Amino acid sequence: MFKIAKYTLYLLTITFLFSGCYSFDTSPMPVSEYDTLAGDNGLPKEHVIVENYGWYLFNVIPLVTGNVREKTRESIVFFRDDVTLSKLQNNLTKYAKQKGCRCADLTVDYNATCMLSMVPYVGTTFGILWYKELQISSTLVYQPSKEKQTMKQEMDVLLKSIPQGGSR
Amino acid sequence: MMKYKKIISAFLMLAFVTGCMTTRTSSVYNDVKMEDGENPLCTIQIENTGWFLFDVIPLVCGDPRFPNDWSCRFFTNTITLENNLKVLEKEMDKYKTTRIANVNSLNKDNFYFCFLLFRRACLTSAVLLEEKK
Repeated sequence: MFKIAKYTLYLLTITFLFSGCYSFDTSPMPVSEYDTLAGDNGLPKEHVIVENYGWYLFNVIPLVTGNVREKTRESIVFFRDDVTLSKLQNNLTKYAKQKGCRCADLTVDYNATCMLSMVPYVGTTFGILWYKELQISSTLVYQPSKEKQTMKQEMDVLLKSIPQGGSR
Repeated sequence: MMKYKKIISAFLMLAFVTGCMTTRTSSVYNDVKMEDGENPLCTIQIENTGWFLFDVIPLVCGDPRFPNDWSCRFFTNTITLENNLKVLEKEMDKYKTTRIANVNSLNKDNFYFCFLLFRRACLTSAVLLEEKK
């Protein structure tokens, strides 16, 4: 019994040391220069997903979470709640502003669970220890200049005017 | 000592089994606009969670009439999309807008103790937009 308790404590300590993680992933959109996003007249440039997770006591008191603050060495932070919509959205919109883009298709996903059955010797925690995760994603849209917009309209007209025909 | 242990255990079990209706909002945009140059007012995420026996019998669920209040309803299934959208409507009234974008909903189910206990969650997110002048 004492051994199990001891190993559980070691495992929890290791879990806390390495858990809590903030990530900011971007990927260029696979579109050509003249494509637009449905519902928006701009050019979709990048797709971004921002994620943070951490561990909480009774789903209220933050124990360890990923660090959302930029230009810091610490990847995790103790006793500070960084798994919040405001903080993640702040980072996303700052990046969008830096790129000179606006946000489209902004969606939020949240997950919280108090069960740790995947962690050996820990099992359930009966509502004491909680894992929380928040993700926010968006497509960054660049508004092209009026010149490019005119060019796009002219190209559309040109493409429509080409007669359709089979091979000879 | 035994009395305190019982109180603490009861409290822990209660914390473990309560359902909850929560809304999370953020108005931080750093002057960044939404699609088609729309001005956003607020990003909102609504979550309603509850516990079910065998995924059929509702034990305790969040109360959509009082979001963020730690109030819950016993033996009533309130984990529905309709309830989430009613709360969304109330938030739109609070922000005095009728315009909305990027509405997205998800259902999440987790089971525990060999399918005996189920935790259900219904999440809805959206961006509220300023009224056009």
